[in-house]
Amino acid sequence: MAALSKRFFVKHACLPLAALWAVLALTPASAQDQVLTFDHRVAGDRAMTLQMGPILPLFFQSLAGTISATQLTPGGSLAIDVDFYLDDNLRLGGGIKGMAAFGINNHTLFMVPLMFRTTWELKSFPWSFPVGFGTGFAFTSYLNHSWLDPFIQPTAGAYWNVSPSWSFGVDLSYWLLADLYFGTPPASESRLGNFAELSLGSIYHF
Amino acid sequence: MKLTFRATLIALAASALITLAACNPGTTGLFSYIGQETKDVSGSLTKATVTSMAEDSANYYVAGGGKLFSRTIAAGTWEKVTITNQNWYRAVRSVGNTSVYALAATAIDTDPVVFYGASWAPVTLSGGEVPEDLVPVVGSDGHSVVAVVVVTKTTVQTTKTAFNTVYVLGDSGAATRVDLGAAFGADVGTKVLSAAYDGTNMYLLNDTALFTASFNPASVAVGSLTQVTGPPAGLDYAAILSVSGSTATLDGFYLATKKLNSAGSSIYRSTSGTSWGSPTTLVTNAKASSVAIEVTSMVFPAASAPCVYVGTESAGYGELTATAISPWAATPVATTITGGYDATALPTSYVTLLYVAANGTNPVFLGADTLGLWAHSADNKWSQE
Repeated sequence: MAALSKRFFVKHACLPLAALWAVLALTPASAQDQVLTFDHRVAGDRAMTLQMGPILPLFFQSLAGTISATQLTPGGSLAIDVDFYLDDNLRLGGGIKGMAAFGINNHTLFMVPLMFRTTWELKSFPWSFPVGFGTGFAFTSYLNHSWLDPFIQPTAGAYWNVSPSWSFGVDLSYWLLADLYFGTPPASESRLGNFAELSLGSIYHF
Repeated sequence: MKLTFRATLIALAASALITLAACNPGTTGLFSYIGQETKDVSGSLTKATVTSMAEDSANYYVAGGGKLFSRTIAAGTWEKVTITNQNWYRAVRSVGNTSVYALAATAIDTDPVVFYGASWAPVTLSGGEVPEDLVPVVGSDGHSVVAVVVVTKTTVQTTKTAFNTVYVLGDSGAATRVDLGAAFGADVGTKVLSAAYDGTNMYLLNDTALFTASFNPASVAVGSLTQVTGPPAGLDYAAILSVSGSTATLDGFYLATKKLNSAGSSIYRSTSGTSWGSPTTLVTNAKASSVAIEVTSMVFPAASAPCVYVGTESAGYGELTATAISPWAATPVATTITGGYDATALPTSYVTLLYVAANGTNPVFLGADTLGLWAHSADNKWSQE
C-alpha cells in the first residue's frame, strides 16, 4: 500500500491534458486506472507546507456588531505547517504563522498564530484541493501592547502535484482573531479582527 | 500517530510560553487601539526641540527635531512637510509673512540646501559655502522679520571652520553676499546668532562682535559692513533687539549676553545701535547669581502689550516691562510680566525660540528643548501646540 501511495504519474504536464485527466478521474474507472492516476496517501504519511503571501486587513468588529476600519496597511505572512495523513484524504497537523502590517503611524502589528489544523483533500489528478480549518491562539503585538487571541482560520486552496514529493499552489485563508477582554481592559474593548490571506504554497510529502 | 502526539505536546508548550509572554495592554484593547489610533505628527512635534519658526499668509512653519511641520494659522493640526527627499530640516524662516525659506540637508552634516517660496525652489549661493543656519533680521517693531540671514561656514586650512560669509535674503528670493571677514579683519570663528534692523541699518551679532551696515530690505542692498565698537568687550553675546515706536522707556537697542550669571554679563540697552559708549545695564549678574540663565533670544510683541520677552534656558520671561524695568530676580517670577500668565504651565527646559506671530492672534510662541512648541494664548495661558 505504501508503494502504491508513492505511485504518481504526470505523463503530460500541460493544463488541457491535466483538465482532461481531472474529468476522467471523476468518472467511474477501474481499479487499475485508479492506481495509475491518483495520488494516494496512507496513514502516517506526512506533508510539510510552506506558505507566503500578502494578507489584507479587512475590518474590526466589536462584540455589539459595530464594524470599523483597521487602519492597517496590507501586510505579509509566512507559515510553516506539518500534517499527518489519517487516510488518503484527511490530514491533521499544526503549524505556526507570522504576519506583519503597519498601523496609521507606521508602527508594526505582529501576529503569530499557533494552530492545529484539519484538512480534507479533494483530489482530481493532478490537482488537489485542500479545504481546511485551523484553530489556536495568536500572539499579537503592537507598540508595547501584546496579547493572546483565540484564532480560527478556514482555508481553501488548489495545488498541482508536480511530483510524488512536491505540490505547488495557492491558498485563500480567512483569519478571525478574537481580541477579548473581561476586566481590564473592559469587555467593551473586545474586537474581532478579520483578515484575508492569499498565499503561495508548496507542500513537501515525505 | 506517535509523531502526531509529539507535535501536540510541542504546540502546547509553545502556547504556554506565548501565554506567559503576553502582557496586559492597559485600559485599551489592542485591536480597539489600532482602529482608533490617530495620525500622530504632533506627537513628533511635542517631543522636538524647536529651533525656528516662520509663517506665510496662510500657514505657520516649524523646524524641530530634524522635521519640518506646518499648520494653517486659522486652525488645524500640525502636518509634516516634505520638500524633496531631504530628511533633515535645520531651520525655517520667513520674510514678513510672504516668503518662507527652509534649510534642509540629506543628512545631519551633508549637502544642506536652502529652499525658497511656495514651490520650494533651491536658493543658489554664489560662493559655494555650506549653509549652516537661518537667522531672522528683526525689524524695529521687535518681531517682524525684514530679511533672513543665511549663515555659512567654510573650512580653513583643512581643520579650522570659519563663518566669514553670510547671505542676506529678501522676500523675493534675492540674495546678497556679505563678507564678515573683511570687517572683522580675520577669519570669523563664530557664527551670526542674532540680527536686527532699525529702519536704516542692519545689525549682525555673533558671540564676540556686533557688525552693522546700511540696509534696504526692498532691494536687499547691504552697505559697507563695519564692526560696532562700544559694547563691553570680552563677553559672550547672544541676542540683539531693536525696538522703536513704543515708549521712551522701552524704545532702544537691547544687547544680551549669553550667560546672565557670570561676571560682567548683562542685558544692555542703548538709544543707538551704533553708539554703545555708556549702555544702560538692565540686568546685573548679582541678581541672577543663583539661576543658570542663558539667553537665546529676545522679542517685543507689540506696543499694546509692552514688554520684552527673553528666552532663557529656564523658560521664557518678560522681565523688562513698560512701567518698570525690573531687575532680574534670583528666581524669575512670571507674574511680574505685564498682564501675567500661568507660569506653572510653562516648560522648564531650555528655550530655543521665542517667536511673535505677525498677525497677533497667538502673539508669542516659545520653543522648548525636547518639548516642542508652546503658544501664549489670549487668556494668558501657555499651552503646548
